[in-house]
Amino acid sequence: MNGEYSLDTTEGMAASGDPPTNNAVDDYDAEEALERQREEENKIKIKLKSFEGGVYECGLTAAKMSVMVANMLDALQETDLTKIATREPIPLQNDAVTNKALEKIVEWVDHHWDDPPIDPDFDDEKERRNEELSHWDKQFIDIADQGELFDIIAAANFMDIKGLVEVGAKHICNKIKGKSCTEVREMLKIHNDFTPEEEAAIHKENEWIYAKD
Amino acid sequence: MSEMDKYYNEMIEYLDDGNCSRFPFTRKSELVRGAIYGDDLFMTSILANSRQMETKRTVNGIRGPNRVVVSAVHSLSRCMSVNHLSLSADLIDTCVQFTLQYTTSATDPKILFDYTSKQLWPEEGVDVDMDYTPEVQDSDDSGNTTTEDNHNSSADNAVASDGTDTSKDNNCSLSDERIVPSIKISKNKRKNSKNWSIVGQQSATNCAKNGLNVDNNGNEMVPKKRGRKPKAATNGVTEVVVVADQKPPKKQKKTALNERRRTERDYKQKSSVKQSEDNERQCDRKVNRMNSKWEFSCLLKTLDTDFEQILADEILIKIFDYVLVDDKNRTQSIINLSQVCESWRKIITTTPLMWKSLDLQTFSDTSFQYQHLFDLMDKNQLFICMKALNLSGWSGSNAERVLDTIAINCGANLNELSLNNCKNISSQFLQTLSTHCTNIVVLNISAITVIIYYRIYC
Repeated sequence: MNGEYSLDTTEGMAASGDPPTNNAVDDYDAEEALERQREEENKIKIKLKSFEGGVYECGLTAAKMSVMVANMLDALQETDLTKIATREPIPLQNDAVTNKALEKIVEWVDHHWDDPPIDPDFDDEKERRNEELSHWDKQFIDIADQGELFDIIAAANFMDIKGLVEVGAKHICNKIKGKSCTEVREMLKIHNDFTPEEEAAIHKENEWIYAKD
Repeated sequence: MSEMDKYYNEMIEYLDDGNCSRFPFTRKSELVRGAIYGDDLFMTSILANSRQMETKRTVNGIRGPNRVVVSAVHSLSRCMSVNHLSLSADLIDTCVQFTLQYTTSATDPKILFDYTSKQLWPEEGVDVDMDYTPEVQDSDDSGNTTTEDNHNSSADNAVASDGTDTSKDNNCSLSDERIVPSIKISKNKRKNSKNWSIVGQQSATNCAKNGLNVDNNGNEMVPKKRGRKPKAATNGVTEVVVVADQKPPKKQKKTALNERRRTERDYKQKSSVKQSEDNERQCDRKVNRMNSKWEFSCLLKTLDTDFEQILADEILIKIFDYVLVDDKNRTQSIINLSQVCESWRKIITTTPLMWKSLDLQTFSDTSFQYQHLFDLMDKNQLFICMKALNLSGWSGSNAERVLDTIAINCGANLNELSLNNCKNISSQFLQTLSTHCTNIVVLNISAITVIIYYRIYC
């Protein structure tokens, strides 16, 4: 945030013809230094372990796109980042994090590691909603296997990667938008897998509704 | 003074005393759209709204019993924030005259009058419209009374204005001489608009059959129209008009007719584009109604179809949110999604965030299952986050029923309400609205009718 502010300030100064102040220059330098640091950090590879046991490597900055992984790394309180690379793989204990899903997630974060972080305090939800997916993201998320797609989205949600969850949600939205419920069912291959006992239990649970009907 | 006169005076006093402020609209609104077709309370709320909202600049298509219309115009003329008023072609002259009669100060705002498409309005003949036309004097400053027959400008079933007045002679059974401000007309300039100014006061009589037309000074307002043949009053008494300094009637009539034709031609040209848009809109509505296969009861019935949910509820909500954003038929789409499987139905019926907007215009209000809606609201607090409600096309009583419940439960969040084309809305409805829905920002009341009008005037 500080970096962005300083950039704006510098531009404002330039437009008005005033020379940039020392503070603005310092902030700008700090921003550049931070970017350089992120780039350097991304060269450090860390290992992530899927629920199925597969181990995948990705850059440190890319891995930190997952809020969960970032928190885990912070908890290590490791000052020497190079030591992180030699550590045991970070386990991701959720059944959605399959080998295939984690592989795709690593591919996505490695491509998007230099994206500006999403500011949760900034109310740009509507703007983000209307944004079209990039060509790369469209190709990335266009997965034929429904189960795999759902696993990726669920895993991204577990790992708290907001950008990827949004890509998945938008993709599914595009698929079901304007379709009838039968078409949606067919597309998502939804079938009735309730046992008679389960159905009876649901019926009992919703007895008040039937009473009204 | 008749009861109606008393009522009218009270109404004007009420508006003038600034009592409008008791309607607690606090937020700014950009526009009140459409025809205000209503009674005093309704008008008062709208006016209160426009007085308090600095950004509101336009009120379109005010229509109603002419007494109400002119009182509204009167108040609007004092409202600095309103500078553009759209009226029907047949009401505009009346309102301009009336407004200028009460414009006493140079600092009063000037209002730009405009015509609106009649397509938005209720069908002619449905209402009992009381035309109200103050006396007009042609642009000689003699101060002499120049009266002609009054007219019933558009509504064939007009009640109060089918009388004829004269200054000296009249054949009316009811005559009551009073002082009436008259208006000077400068014929010139722009089509469909005239410059008006007050030239003084003169005597006039009224022989209207049903009630007296009285201005807010207690003066009797004498209806009149230029260039028209005397017309038999509805009571069967043929009125004979005696006009002082009368111009050759044929010429005047011809001029008036030409002017009228020009006005009508302009109006037609202007409204032709709007008409095609309105037709498209009507077609859209028909299509929407045809597509409205889901009813609210679907939301309450358990589905047999379900599957193991891989995605968390919050992701599904996000997906639904993306699906519904910018969806014109949002409510139908929500119900459609709820019918995919049981888990989705449960999410939709327990997540108030999904119900930020409720569009009921595609539902039939006569066969609507209100209890289902209220059940959803009571059990799950489903509409607690509702911000927009669309009850367009509903009858007043049914719309009232829904809004009453929603307003009491979650009215404070409601900031957008559409009552387009709602018939027979009562004043109580407006009171509910102004009491519970204090954060209304966008209010669409085009082509509504109100029920209290009949109670007051019949």
